[in-house]
Amino acid sequence: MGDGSLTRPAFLILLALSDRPRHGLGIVEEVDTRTDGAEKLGPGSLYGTLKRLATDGLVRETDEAPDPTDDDPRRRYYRLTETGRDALRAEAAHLRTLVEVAVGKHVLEAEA
Amino acid sequence: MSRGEGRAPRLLRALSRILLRLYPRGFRQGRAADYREAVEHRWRLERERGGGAGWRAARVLLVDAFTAAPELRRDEAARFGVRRSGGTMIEGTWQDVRIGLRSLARRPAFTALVVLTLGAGIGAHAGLYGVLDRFMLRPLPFEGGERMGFVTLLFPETGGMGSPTQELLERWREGATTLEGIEVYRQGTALRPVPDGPPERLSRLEVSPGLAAFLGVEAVVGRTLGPDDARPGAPPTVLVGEAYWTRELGRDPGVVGRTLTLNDTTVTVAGVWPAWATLDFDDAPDLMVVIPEGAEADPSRLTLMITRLAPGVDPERADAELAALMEGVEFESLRRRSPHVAMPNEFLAPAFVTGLWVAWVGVLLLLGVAVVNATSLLLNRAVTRGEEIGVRLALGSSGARLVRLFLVEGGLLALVGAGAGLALARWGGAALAAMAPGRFPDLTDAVWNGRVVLAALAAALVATVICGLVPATHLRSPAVRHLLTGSGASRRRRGVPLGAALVTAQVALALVLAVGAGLGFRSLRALATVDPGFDVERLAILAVSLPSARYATDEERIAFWARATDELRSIPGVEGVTTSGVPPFSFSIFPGEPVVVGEDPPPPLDEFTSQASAAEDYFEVMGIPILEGRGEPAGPVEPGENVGEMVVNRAFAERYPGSVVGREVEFPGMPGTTPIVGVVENVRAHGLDDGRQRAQYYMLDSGPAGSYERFIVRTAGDPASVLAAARERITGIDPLLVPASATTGPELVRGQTADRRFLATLLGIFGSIALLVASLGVYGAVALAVNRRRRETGVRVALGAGTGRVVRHVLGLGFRPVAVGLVVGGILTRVLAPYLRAALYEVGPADPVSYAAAVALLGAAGLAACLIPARRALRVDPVRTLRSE
Repeated sequence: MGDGSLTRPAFLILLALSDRPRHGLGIVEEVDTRTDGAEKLGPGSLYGTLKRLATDGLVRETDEAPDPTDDDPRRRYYRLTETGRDALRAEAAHLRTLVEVAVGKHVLEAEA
Repeated sequence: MSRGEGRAPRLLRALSRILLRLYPRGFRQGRAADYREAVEHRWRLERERGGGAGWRAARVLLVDAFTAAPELRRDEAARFGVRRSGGTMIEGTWQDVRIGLRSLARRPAFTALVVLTLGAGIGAHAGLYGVLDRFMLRPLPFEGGERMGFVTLLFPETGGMGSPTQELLERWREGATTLEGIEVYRQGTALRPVPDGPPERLSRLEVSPGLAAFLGVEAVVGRTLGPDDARPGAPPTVLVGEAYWTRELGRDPGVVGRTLTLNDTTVTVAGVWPAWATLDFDDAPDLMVVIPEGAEADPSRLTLMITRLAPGVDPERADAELAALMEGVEFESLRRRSPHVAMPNEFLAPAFVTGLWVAWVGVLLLLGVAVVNATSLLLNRAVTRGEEIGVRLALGSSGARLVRLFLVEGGLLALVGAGAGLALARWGGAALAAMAPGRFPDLTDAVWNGRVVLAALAAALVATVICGLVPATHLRSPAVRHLLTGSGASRRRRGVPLGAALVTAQVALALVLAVGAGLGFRSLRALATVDPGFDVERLAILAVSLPSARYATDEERIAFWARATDELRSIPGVEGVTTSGVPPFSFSIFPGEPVVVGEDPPPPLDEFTSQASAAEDYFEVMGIPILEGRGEPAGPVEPGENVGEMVVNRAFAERYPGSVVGREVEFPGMPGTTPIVGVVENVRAHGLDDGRQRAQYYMLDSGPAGSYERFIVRTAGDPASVLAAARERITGIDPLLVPASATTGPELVRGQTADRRFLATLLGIFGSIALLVASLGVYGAVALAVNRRRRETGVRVALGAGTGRVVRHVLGLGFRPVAVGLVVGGILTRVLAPYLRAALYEVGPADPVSYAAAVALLGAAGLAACLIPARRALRVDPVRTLRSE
């Protein structure tokens, strides 16, 4: 992360937080659901990455109202910072460029 | 948010608990609850996906533990400012290896001591495993070798072997479904003329045409022999053995096609038989020829049959089938014999087999002593490395890391020790081979095979685990940690009892070996002083075989023997010459006992009777006292004439009232009777250790007349000095003749005691090494204890304790575990010693002399090992000690 690129778990976490704040397990579930099980965050990966992202200022803990359906007020919630959003956007754009290259080389079929 | 019902399975939870330990402490302390919740959450997510949820969840946890956990460690270490190069387990271990090597290199004396100690134990283990592997465990080195054995025809009562007829051999080959073929071989000799000297006698193996194919052996150069070489009219061909080819022919590949003259015939060399393809424990033959078709069986010579059991068949089934196939075959000489498929190690003497296994146990004990000693050394050193260990622990080095560090160090020492041990075994193997019972070939090739190296590595692994784990787990205990990071004040602590326990263990194991050695030596001495019943010290024995080509008639043979006898008698130093059909210690055996006619047969002395033939002067030459009657025919007899008289031994005669001389004797199941003309003293008919009293009888012989005879020569002085002259005289009569074998009585005796001598020597060596190692262990432990108690000693001396009291205090400290070890060792020995019984002779497993000597020796060594540190304790300057604390 020091050189500007995001690790896979970091990208996934930021992506999960891009629409609203979530707690740890919520992030895991969002990633799991959105990728249909293709990406699975383990606990060490999750909490370690969250810590690093917080240190780097890409996420922060928040006191915002928790998910009304959540019955555990002790959970820690995380939200994306502006810096984090910028980093996420940059990485997504980078990935899109790579996908376009792959399509141009017929590695992937262009989406209809 | 919680979807799905029920907790994660117990196994998954248990796995997660184990994996959690791989995460750094900070994570474990701060996120343990989150981790557990994440496990449950993952389980629920996977459950929704269907079957195999547990596996998928477990995989996620495993991947996380091996990828994320190291990263978390790195982060944690970076936070504490401690540089960690490498977070994965492999990198960490490599780092520990470097640390370990540096640490060991800083203390070369200590390292050398531990390496030598372990090397002695591992080397002895590897060396003996090599011997066991060669003779007991490794099957014949051919394809399907583990199923290969030898078909024997035995007298059921005595185990004496016989040879098949051609008809029987073919019946078996065609009819036996339990065997994959039977091939035949015989051992013989061939004479090769040598310019300017007597002919060279070469060992020659005569084999059936199908043997090479059966064994799957290919020639080193050229080809092997086959059915084409056995056809009538085929040109005479021979194979040369690889050892002979190397020794005499310089491994010249041009040997193929060369001609040799053997036994007056010119043969062509077809190839070289490889040295590894030995058929039994004898040395590889110089030559190999094929037996002509249809002549494979020769009941007059010992014919060996090698076979391979069909897969899944055990020898008993094969025995039964072979016996069934014998029904109805005409074979008068084989009437009483039964077939048996013998696996190769059945041919080893029971005493040798027992001896090998006993030596194996001895080696394990020695290895135990070595490992315990090395552990003790490492433990002592770990305690003195207190500061380093304390720093590591304070910096958050986990217990697992500490264990790994010690395991790595232990492993390095054990590996180097294993290398040293294998080298020692190689060297030792060569020395042992020189001493090993004569019939066993070079042991050095036993050492360098893959299995032996594996055995050494296995021993090293055990050593590593023990040497590494014991100090590591000991040091992790809180009390000991306090010691390491504390002031080093002398208090009661757990370190001392463990060190003492290790000393006790070493002494106990060493005592077992020492007693074993004592028992072995006493057996050997008892055997060496046995009176064989005849004058074995001044006998020379020569066997001569007359080739039928040049000695075809009785007259020619008788003339040769007569001349040979005269020649031998005329050698200076020879007092008498006789012949017999059997050598000393190797009488023939017959089932049942002859009975004096007209008497109620007394209870037999044994199941069978020993028999020999006795020609003119036999009893005089052998030095067997004639107790009654005569030992010769009454009047002159022609060689070859049947004398029809016999002499019996005292044990036989004593059971009948009055004298048996002049009485007739009949043999059960045989027609006719034979008169007894004399009674002689009992002898050891079947070996020095053969103490069973049997009936022995001698058929009086009219003199040598056959094609193979055994001369027994009585000498005034050392019989070895007569052998050379005897050989010359024989060759002087016929330049193409060389005695088939020539030995002396003392050499026979040495051969008899070889097994026990080997065992006693082995145990003696192991016992000595164990004694040395255990003594060093005692010394080390006492030295450490004295060192730790400097302050206490200083105080005692300052308070006026005399030298006597100080020394007694130290001795008491050091000798207590030794004394306990002697007691424990004594009990252990009493339990193990009975297994030694088969290898002992005239000494019981509870022999008090052996025990007493071993205890005294070890006790003295232990005491001496305590004295040196005790004297050092006296030199403690109380003022300086107290000031420095």
